[in-house]
Amino acid sequence: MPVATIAMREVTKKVWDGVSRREVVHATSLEIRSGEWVVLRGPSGSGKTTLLGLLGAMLRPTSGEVLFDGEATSRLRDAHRADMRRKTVGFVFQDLQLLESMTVLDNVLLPLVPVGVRDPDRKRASALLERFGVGAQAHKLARQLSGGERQRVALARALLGDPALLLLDEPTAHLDDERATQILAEIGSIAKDGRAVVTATHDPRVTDLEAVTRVVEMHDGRVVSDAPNGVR
Amino acid sequence: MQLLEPWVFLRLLAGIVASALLVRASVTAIQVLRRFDVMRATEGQLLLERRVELAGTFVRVGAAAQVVALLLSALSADKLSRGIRGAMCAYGAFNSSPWGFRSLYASVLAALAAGTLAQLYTFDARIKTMELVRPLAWATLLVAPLALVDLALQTAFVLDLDLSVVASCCSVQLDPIASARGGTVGGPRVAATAAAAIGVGVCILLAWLVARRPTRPKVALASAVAFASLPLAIAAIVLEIAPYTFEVPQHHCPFCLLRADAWGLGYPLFGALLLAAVWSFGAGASALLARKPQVAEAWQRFAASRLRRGALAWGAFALLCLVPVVRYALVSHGASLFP
Repeated sequence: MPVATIAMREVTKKVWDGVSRREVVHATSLEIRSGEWVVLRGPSGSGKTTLLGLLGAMLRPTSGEVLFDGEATSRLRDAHRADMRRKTVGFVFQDLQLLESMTVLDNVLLPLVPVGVRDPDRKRASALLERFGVGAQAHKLARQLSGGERQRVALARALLGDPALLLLDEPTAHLDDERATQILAEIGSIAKDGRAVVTATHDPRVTDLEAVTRVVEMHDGRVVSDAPNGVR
Repeated sequence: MQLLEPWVFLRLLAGIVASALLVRASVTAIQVLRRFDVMRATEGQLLLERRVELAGTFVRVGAAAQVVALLLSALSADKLSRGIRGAMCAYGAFNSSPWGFRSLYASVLAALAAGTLAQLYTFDARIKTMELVRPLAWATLLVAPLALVDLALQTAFVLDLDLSVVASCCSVQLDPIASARGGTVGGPRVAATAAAAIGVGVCILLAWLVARRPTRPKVALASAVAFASLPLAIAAIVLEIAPYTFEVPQHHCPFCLLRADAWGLGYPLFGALLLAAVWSFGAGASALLARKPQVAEAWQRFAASRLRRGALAWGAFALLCLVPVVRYALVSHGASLFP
């Protein structure tokens, strides 16, 4: 896991909604360092998920730059951006994107399928599942898991490539307090590993945590505040 | 109806595939030159970038088809020669129509150019950014017309070909020319062989040495030496290798080397020469494009790999040249072929 600084410089993202081009992120600058847990907070449609996509190099900014350790990801060609993403970024989607008819272990190994899965990868995937308390479910189908277990499997999958940056979109959505607390404790331990963690959420249970280092407030595609947690 | 001859049909099909792919890539190249701007990630730009990647694949497949087309040109002419009275090999088939040799020269030129262009696209695919998209668009627009010209000339040749004509044999036309110019015995033959041997040797050595630490001037030099050695190598085939293959000092036809009684030596021999040229030219052409510092690292690795491949191909060519010479020395117990 390389040490990473992820920087956004005046990033704007416009999307075509079928009628007109709409600006969903406006001239945003951010810098996130390894070891930080940054929470993006804001109402639905404020641009949190788009910003996560831009940070994780899944989306290209319409203008501006996203830099990983000084290297502009927005100018990379698709194949190289995908390669960089595979090595540097872990992503937990809001709907988790588990493949229901595959086993838990195969779901975790999925990001490595394009480059080939080797025995050490299987061992690492099993170790991650053990770490998150779902090792016993490794050979079950994804659809047989509970909501909390699914969330942990998605976390294990995101960490398989030992990413420097972990992005999570609404990780506590649809979880009760007990399960949300467990998942947030896991995310906190991941941030302590020295990774940069960015979580998009409007769940107040997340920003109440001491482990969260910064809270970035978004509204209408703009960052309206960016401050250390608790200083608001 | 020559079009229905299987080899002729395949030859034209390869030309059509190569032309269609290169023309399609040219359409993208024109769009690139008109509106490619990597700094603007608009939907149109993103779509164009995906088309650029697709065009790169088209060019590489089209270049492979163009090289196959050259192979099929030789093969189909060799096969057709059996149906033309007086023709002993592909030379007779090509010589039976005014379009024959024109189409062959166009095929060679198009295959070399397309092969070199494919090398450049391979280099481009190894670069993280899209720095070379515009120069490659220009290069594509230069090479695509060659494929079309080749297809047009090949079609003209095939349509003009008259199987009822009495053609001239290579031994009637080529051999007296070489003998009259003193090429058979000494002078030009010895000079061409010596120059080719030195040229090929220098190509191998230079490519291997430059590949260890490639710089743009050195790679350009290795490529230029390969460019100069190519005609020398062909001259040596005509004046030295062909006579040894047939054990006849006056027989100088390179097309007869394609025949079964010459063990089809011409195919690997000219194939190795084509690969050596394409890899060497590819390295040299990439040196022209590798000016920006952000592509330097990828370029060094690419140039080194192409030069090594080129050196291996030149080496294979040299070894194949030795086969008939060594064989003749063994069967003749060391007697000289040339009086």
